[in-house]
Amino acid sequence: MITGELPAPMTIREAIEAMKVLSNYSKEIMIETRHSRVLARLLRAILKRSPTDSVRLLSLMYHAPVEAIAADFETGEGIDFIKALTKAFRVNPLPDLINGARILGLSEVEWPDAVRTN
Amino acid sequence: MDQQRNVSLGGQEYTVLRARLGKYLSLQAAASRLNKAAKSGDNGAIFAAICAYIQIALPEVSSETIALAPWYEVISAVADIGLLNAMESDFAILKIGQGGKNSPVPWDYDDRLCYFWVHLLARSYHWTREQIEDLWPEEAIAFIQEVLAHDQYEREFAHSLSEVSYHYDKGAKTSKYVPLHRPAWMVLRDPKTLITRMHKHMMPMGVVIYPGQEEVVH
Repeated sequence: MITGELPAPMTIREAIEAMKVLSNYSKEIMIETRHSRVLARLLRAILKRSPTDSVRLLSLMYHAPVEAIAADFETGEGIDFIKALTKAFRVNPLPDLINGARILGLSEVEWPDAVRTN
Repeated sequence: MDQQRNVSLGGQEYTVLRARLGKYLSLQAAASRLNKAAKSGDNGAIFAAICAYIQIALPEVSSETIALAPWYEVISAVADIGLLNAMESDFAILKIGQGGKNSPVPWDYDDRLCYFWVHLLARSYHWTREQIEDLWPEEAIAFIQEVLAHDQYEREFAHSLSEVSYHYDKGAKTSKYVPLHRPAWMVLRDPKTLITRMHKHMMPMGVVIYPGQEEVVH
């Protein structure tokens, strides 16, 4: 399911679900001022609080069923998992997802201009 | 103020025109449905509300096009339509609001706002629904503000003729006029327009440089 190529961007139905998952974490991750740190904090928070959310996010961003994604990582290592998620966020930028959730009224958190994209 | 914007959906470019009152009120109703759907967390209702919102501004776009387009194009279209139709004018009724409780009236229903605006303008100016829906939203809100202010003055006049507007003070054995309560938007002034007076001893002394102005000696 997860190949070396970048996945296609999510559709709006998939993105709504992804925004709902991300809005559970947006408050605690937006205390960072660098994009890379926000992403790292998000991954840490997901793995700590609800690891199934990361599988859910991957299934949405790679357009595959949750079971298939879980099977892909059954034998894999953690680093592959994080690589796949980071790659998916390149196609579906995290700042746009967080601001998109705000536009749709799913969250009140906004990606501020102060957060640097490095 | 922009009169149109270009949005891209599914690789195709569309031009969105600024909405007249009829479409503007439909957009507001769709935005309200989107807000309700987002609060309930119902993905299907959120998608349906997004489609309805975009299709009011762009009737030629099908739900399938929206469903298959990349999500950031859809979100961008929703944001652009919202920005294009944002009301920028300075109306007290919008800035300060009616005051009081924001809870809906018991006879409230979906899209009541549209019927309320049309009713208010039709009653006062005897225009047809089509004529009212062809107004720019700013024009409509200006007329509505005047209608509501006029209604308030009429109520105040009727109130001043009534016995209930005079409170009898037994101690002083005189009657005192009790004016009718005015809505907040007619009473409160925009804090930005108020001149704040400060005591002389609190003013800065010596040469003061205000941004964009020459030096002033106090």
